Amino acid sequence: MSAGISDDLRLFLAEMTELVEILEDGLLRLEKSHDPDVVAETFRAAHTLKGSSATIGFTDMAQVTHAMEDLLDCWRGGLAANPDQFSLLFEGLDWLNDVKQRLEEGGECPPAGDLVERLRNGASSKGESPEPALELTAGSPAAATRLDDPWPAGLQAEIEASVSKGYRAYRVRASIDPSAVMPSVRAFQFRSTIEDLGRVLWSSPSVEDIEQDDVGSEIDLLVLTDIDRDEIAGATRNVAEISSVEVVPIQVHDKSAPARQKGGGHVLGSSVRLDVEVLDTLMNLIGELIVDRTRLVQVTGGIRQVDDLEELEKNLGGISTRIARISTQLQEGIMRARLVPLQNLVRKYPRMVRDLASASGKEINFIIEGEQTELDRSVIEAIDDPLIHILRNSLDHGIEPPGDREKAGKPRMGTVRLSATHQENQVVIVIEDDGKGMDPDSLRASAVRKGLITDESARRLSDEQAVDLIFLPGFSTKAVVSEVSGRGVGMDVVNTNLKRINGTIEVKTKMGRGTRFTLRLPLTLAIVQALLVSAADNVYAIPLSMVSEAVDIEPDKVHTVRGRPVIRVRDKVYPLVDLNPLFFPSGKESQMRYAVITVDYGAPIAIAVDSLLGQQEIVVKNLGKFFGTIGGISGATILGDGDLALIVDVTRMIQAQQSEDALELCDEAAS
Amino acid sequence: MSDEVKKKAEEHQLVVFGIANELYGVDIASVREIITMQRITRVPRTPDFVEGIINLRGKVIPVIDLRQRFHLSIAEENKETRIVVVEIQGITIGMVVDGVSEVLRITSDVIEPPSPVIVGIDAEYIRAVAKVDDRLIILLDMEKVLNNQETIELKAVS
Repeated sequence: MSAGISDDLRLFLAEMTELVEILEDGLLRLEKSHDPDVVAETFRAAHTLKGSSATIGFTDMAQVTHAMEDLLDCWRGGLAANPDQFSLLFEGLDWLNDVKQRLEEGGECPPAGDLVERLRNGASSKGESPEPALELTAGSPAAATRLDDPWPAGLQAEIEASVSKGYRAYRVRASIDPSAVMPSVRAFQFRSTIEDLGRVLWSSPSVEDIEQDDVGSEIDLLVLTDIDRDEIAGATRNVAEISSVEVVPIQVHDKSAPARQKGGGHVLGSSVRLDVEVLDTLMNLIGELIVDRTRLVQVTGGIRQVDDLEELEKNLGGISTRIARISTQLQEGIMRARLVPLQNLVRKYPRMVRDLASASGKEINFIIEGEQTELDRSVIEAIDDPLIHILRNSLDHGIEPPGDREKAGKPRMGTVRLSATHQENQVVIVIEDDGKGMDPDSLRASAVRKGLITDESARRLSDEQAVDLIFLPGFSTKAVVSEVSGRGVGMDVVNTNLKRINGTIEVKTKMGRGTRFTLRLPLTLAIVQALLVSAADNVYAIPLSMVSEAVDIEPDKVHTVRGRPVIRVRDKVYPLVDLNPLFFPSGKESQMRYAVITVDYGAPIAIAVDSLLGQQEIVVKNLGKFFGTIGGISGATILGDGDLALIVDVTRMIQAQQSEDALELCDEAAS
Repeated sequence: MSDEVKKKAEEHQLVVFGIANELYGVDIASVREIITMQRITRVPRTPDFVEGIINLRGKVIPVIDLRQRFHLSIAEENKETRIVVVEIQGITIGMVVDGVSEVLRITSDVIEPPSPVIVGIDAEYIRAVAKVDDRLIILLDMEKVLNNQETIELKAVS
């Protein structure tokens, strides 16, 4: 939060955060099933927020919450809730979240516009859904106002999120010639044409309608894309029996601030919530440490007078053992202080799933288990994008539309489950759905078609291996713009991001039954198991998670292929990389006694070193801002003797090796 | 008139160290500590004057060699060699110097702008000079000294 806000406001915002959470949880639950207790709880939250916001002087907020409270009151009175009322309430919730973020950043409460009125109308509409108002003046660049949007209100946030990322949103309308013999075919063609250009968020008639031949004379689409309207209009000219195509850009609220995710900004603030117990434990440990520190001073002070060396050894030995134990416990205690429950991260997912489901017309039951599982802060930040990506995959490609599911004998409602557990010293997160699964054959064909593997390699892959093809760079099947929430495309990026935090991902799928992704993450980034090696008098640390094995280098197994050294180990051939010269080109070459073979999907390498110094748990330290990013080095660690060892970034080394580029290209200067 | 009075009253405390037979001074407020020379771990692909990293009580900090930074002759490392640890703009860096002589209190009246002819180092690193007794102490502009801009330029070239 910005430093410039008053204490009163700070208190209010803390209360508002809680109340908004209750509202959101309540609404999400009520959507699934009506429960009078939940209605009452949600009503009370709105009521309290109304009072607080009025007291502190935010009149618009008070009005909005008042209108929300009235609507909830109708439900309390027994009125059945209809989907439009939910949409209105979620819209109110979005507005409240937006206001909260602005206030936290030191800004102002924006006006609510017509939101209050629509909420009031919603309360009095008594279960009738209003006619979607299609009021576009021909060709005018003025946008459809929110009042007239025929698409679900939940999409508005998605539109805004992608617009702020640089994409454009258009409403495309066209008329189908009355003389068309098969209007549904034309509608299908039109929609496909648009789908090639971007991502269609919504259409009327919907995909289902088209399939069931339930098509009128108009077609209306909402599309996200990065091309301009003339290109869209131009592309549609080629569809027969379609006339008067209109492409209207959709304006969004002026978001001069950067895009905000629903549920409020950053996952974690820069402060920590700590159990007082943890602090007390740390204090006690420090107390013990001080006792031993004093003892040490005494002993070293009296060293000259010592004549009994055995006694001295015993004393110092005792102090040293105790200090070792205390520092281990301190280490554990502080690591625990860095742990954050997964809930902080996954709290915003149900909303996202709900919006995506309603936008695509699918019915989804989203279950989260184990959200109390704790992870290190840095790990949590790093898995947000991958988890969202996998969830979207399940929603977009996994779960089928209700009609298809029924035909397949499945329940109309698809289930997506996210569960997290501790296993040994890992956190395991599983995302599974009961959708249509993935077809190994179509994956093989797709990979071959994209030139990622040859036909024979594809055929030699088992079905399980074929499924792993989705992790290949360049594999992603949908058009470029299909990924709105992530920065990159495809499972490849998910995999890379996870590797970077020493995590792994596996996928299992069964056609027609569903798909399961299993992520394994280390409990903390800061401490890893590493293999220490020496190369030309320098000690390096290689994260054990990237090491497959270490072998002696037999000179007769070393060959040269296209000018580069390789080594043959059993029946595999690996590029051989000499560690020291790689980092210090004019430095000494390794004596090539051992090769450390890496784990990696697709392209493992062998790293030549002088000696293997053993396995050790190391504390990862950043090199710091001064250096920027040095390709191939992910940090440094302090060895037992106080010296430093560089930590090798194996993933980068492999990337550099694959693209035959110098590691230099991975360097980034300090900002 | 009052300006001059003010100037006389301003006192500065400097940590004075030597590099290649010249004396240099740095405001004591930026100096964190002075430590004896220790083993420096090299870091790949850094400019020549960046020696590497050291372990300072559990923290990893970069170390630069001021002699190389200023393109001066490098003396043999001896027991006078020190690492002066400074903190500038939130970055902690160690600098290898030939020896630290003292902490000096000087008043503003002995500080002059640098003369255009200063032998040895680039003028951009010099903030001012101070004449104390018959010694000349070069006051460094630490921000310029520690600016790693050259690294960026070097990489762009190679």
